[in-house]
Amino acid sequence: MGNKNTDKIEEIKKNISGVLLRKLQVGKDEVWIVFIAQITDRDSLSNNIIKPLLNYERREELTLDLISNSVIYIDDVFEDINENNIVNYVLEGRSIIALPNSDKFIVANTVSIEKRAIEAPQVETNIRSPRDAFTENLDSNLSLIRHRIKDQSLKIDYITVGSRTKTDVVVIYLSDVANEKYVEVIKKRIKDIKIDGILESAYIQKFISNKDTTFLPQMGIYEKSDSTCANILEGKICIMVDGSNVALITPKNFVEFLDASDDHYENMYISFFVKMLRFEAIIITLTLSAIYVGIVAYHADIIPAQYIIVLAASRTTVPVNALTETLLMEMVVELLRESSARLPKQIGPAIGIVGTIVIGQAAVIAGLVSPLMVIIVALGLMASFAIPDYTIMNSIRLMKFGMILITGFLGIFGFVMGFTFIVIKLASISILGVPYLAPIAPFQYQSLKNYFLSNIVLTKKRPEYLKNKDDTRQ
Amino acid sequence: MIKKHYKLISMVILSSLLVGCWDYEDINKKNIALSVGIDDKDGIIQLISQNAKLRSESSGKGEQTQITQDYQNVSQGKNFEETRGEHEYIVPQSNFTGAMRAVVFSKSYAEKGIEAYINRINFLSDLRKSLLIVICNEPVKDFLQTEIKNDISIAYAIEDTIKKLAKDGRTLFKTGQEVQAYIQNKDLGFVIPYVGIKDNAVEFQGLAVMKDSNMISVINKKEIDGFLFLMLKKPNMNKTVYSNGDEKKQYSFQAKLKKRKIKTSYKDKKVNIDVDLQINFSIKYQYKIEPLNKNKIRDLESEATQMIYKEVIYAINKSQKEYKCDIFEFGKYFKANNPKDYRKINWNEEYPNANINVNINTHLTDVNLRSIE
Repeated sequence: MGNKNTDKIEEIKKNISGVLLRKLQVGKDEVWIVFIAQITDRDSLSNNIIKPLLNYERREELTLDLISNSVIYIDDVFEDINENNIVNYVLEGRSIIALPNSDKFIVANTVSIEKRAIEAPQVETNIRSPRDAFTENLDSNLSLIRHRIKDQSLKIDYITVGSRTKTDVVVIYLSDVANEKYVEVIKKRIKDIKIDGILESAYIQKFISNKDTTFLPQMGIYEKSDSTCANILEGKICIMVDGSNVALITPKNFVEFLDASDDHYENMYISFFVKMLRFEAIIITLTLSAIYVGIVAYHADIIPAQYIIVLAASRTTVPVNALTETLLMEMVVELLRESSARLPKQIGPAIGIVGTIVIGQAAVIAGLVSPLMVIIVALGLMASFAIPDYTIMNSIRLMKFGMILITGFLGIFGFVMGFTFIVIKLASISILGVPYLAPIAPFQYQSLKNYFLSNIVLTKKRPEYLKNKDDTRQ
Repeated sequence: MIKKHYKLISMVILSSLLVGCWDYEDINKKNIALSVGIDDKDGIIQLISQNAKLRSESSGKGEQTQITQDYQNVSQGKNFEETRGEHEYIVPQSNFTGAMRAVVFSKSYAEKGIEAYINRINFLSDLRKSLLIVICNEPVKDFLQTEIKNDISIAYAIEDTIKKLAKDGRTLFKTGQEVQAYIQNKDLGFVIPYVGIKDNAVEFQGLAVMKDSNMISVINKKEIDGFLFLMLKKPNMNKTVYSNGDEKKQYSFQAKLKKRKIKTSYKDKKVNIDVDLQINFSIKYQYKIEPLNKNKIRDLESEATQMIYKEVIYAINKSQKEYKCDIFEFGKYFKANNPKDYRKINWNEEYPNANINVNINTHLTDVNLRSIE
């Protein structure tokens, strides 16, 4: 004798490979347990479900309510009546307990997915800060956040995205701090995503970002729980995706990409100095090569006279013009950067040595590039690594090529035009209504002061530009 | 995309009409001029340009070193255009004048007038208006060929020497733009640094006096102090005075001009100029140490004041009697204070007969940690 549930189970077993069916005879009653072995905690299934069922000796008739309330030891169980949901539960890793004479069935959480332990961060490295990084398991990540923020107003809203992957996406925020409008907009954009699968948080990031400003990053990516929690406490919204070890924070503006977590743990004078250093790094990466082209090709007289001769002498053997030389060297550096990111760790350092010594030094000796060019591209490369969030540097790297080209065609005039255009573009963007250049433009003194000093003792208010419900921190 | 960004695209296209890649030329492909000299050889203008020679040579283990030297191009002609044309025929690259440090006129050329080349500097866009103008004692070709031992090249040596002295309040730094302004003012004369070569180094030898853009005389560097007190903003003299006339008891002092007031008037058909100099006077050290007291300091101050007074009077007398030319720009003060009278008179004729009174007030500021009894 069977019913719709057992028929469904039979059908699932036929159609989906890996599905196992365990039929138990408990007295006069038959109990069906269906699961997928690879994603089920079989020890938990055996000890907490199968064993207590087989040891059931009471005379009462076995019902689903009795099983869920009094027999099995699993902590997370609920009942469902819709047999069409069985396939989804099984694919999630849950175990289904069904009785042939019952319309309902029990869904037990016996999910067990292979996951790695919490390790030190790979991308977000700091000198002084906690090193518990997120993993690909959403529950582990949420446990790290819950461990740091023990507040009843911490909201974790689940949304399932992806018709085939059915990936869990969570939106985390403090309900009494975060701006409601931002939360609603983010949730709506996530719910509107129509795609077969979400494999990484970058998919979500691309879908919910503003389409006209995709060139510049609009969300911060965080690998560590302390910096993520710091952003949540500021009133921002965190988005986490099951299967991704990176959390997204929004809204995020330009200056916040230059903020690292250990700025807030160090002395404020050091933090201020380091922040200024990072601004300098952005300017160097963006403009140094372009200025070189502009000076060598158009306006050599703006540099000290003694150096004009040295510069000209160093370029006597270079076979190409300054623009071509710069573009070629920058492409070589980008190739080195890309190859060092892809290579296995064992031979990665070797490439670094090959790149710097062979290509840099040898190219100068061979007379293919000038020594100054090597210094400039090396400085630019080093400066690009000074920024904590590499996503902004990716945009800066691309803009750098644009600056080189416009300076190569129009001289320092083109350089100023290009730079002005970039500043105008930055000033005209807003993320969820938050100006991208805030608190510089529009100028907000308190927020800017708090940003540069990064002193938690002096930061009594949350940033003004976030328009939080509650601005007071202390 | 074009419709959306048409404003931006049209801005870029219009901008390219002002500048563009047709101006593109790498610096190493240009002829870098370091200095230019103008000389006059029997009525023929000689233009000597000193250019940077860029070459690299390998030394030892395949390492390259860049050595910069300079070389000369001499061209001549009846006028600057002809001279320049001859220069273009022998120089294979386009000229870059951004590194040029100085323009050197020979004495013989300066005596005939430098106005033509000064106008050339000020009206041609490829020559910097802030170029240093000097006159040299030797023929320019020999002067610029000198191998300088204490600087990169002679052009840099000229500029560095004059710049340092000007900064120390020991001479003037005259640029092409300033000289052109002086030449336009027909009532005033002016001075230009006068240099020469000594021991393979550029030597400041004095100031060349220019009237109507012609050199008429040279003020020797030993007699220059009085002139500088009247011309410079912050002149600075280091001198010695004798205590009680005793040569062995010399006191080294420094005199710095604190303020210079010039009042002018026109009375009884005569120009009156009152020059009031306030000088800060500080004792540096004594050649032979002896106790200092207030009376002694008063005497030293008086001696120093007398010394400076004599030098200033000497300078004024020279300008009135010998040069007959207002090189101190008193005419500007007179014009400002008495515009109506200025229009009535001919300043060039009135200046040599002007009544110039000099008053010097010195004020002791420092005895260099010596105690005063």
